[in-house]
Amino acid sequence: MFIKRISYYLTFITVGMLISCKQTSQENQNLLIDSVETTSELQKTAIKVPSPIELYIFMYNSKTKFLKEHLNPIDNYNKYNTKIKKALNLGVYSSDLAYCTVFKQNKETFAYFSVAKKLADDLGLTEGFDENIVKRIDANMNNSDSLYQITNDSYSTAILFLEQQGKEDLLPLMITGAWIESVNLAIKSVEKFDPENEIVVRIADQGLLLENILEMYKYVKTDPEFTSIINKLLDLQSSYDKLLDNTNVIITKKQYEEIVNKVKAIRAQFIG
Amino acid sequence: MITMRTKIILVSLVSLMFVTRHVLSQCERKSYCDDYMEDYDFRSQSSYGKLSPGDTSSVNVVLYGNQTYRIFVCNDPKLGTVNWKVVIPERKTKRTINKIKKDTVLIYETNEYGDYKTDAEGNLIIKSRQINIDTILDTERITIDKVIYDSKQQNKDPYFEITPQKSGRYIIRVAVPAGDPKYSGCVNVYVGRKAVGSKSLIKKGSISKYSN
Repeated sequence: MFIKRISYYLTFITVGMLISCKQTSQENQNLLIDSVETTSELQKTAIKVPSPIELYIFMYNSKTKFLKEHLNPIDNYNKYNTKIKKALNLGVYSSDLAYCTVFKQNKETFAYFSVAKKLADDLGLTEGFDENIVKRIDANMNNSDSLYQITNDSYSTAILFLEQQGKEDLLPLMITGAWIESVNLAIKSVEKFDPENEIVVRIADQGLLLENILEMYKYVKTDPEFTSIINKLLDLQSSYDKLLDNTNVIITKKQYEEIVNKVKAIRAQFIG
Repeated sequence: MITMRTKIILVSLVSLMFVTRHVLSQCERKSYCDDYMEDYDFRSQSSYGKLSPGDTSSVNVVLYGNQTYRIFVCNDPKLGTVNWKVVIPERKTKRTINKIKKDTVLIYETNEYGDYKTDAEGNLIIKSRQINIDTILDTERITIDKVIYDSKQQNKDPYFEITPQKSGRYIIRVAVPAGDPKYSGCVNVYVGRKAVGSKSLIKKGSISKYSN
């Protein structure tokens, strides 16, 4: 059913693009044009983004400091009253949770788990984390292999629930929130700009992830509330695009500062 | 005990956050080629889906520079030999000046940590305004597939390994051979990052339906 729906979307988009092709050649300049091989048939596409945990592990191994003061304060939870804000900040808090775990901050880990769970409950995303799962975790506490299989099961249940309830549109929002939080924490970990700094290089790499995140939004139904978020991300992407012109360095100080300011502004609006 | 349980649930919850847009139908996790797993972590960007004969599918991933990855595709044997390629979507850009814009840039108030402050309604608080002259460029992007692995042309390693020098986007393109269209089976695309260090969240040889 879901595949059919996506297929319809893609068909409409394709037909729409063909119809509007001649009329809007200027507007089409920013479209991704695939080679003949990739556009010859309708394809099922999965868009993936590396988990922020990978970035956090990289930061941890680079001996960056744990920056508790830059996490989204737990108290902010009360501000999130709309579905979009809740979804974005479920991502933000989950990212903070991952950061705390990677940096072995157990007290903060528990606090951020609690607040993320509350937002997940608010969004009705608890099906993968119900009492049965908790009981299975308890029963397998000494068997790490089983525990990881249980988490796989819980995930599958949650996703099935999301799809069945038509809540799959929340996923890009959560991913966006988690991603922007991870980039912000990476930015905060850079004490002084140096184009050779490995964290700075990783921040420059995030343009690739942003590209995939923006791709994800193409597959969700058009919700006017998404437009402002997408526009912010597109604006950030325009700054990342400037890196493509570089020949000798990956990122210049001016480009870095532009990206930093945009990330900070987007993140402030997400968590505000 | 609580910490352990918290961590397990944490992995589940965090994984949920980072699952991607998945237009492949959900597929029961089946590992058709456990032997290829070795010490790679497959949880982040692997993809599992049910496909029918004649179907094609793509999985778009990002691989970080200086990390080693192993990519392979395994499927329900009833589907026959599924062919797959790893391609780099080589992006060529053409930039042209659209206009030169004079803009008023708003400078926002920040707190002691350098983060932007917001008012009661969540809006950024304006501190001052600055005039900026900016050149607006149009970016035309054209991507062309550069095939770096084709399962048809391989007769030794059933998987593809790569350690990119710099981070990049990669696409795994899968094509199921023709057959009975009424039948569908699982096709699993595994993208594993070589486990480095002893971080507890890196579970060697891990596979799951999600990214963690």
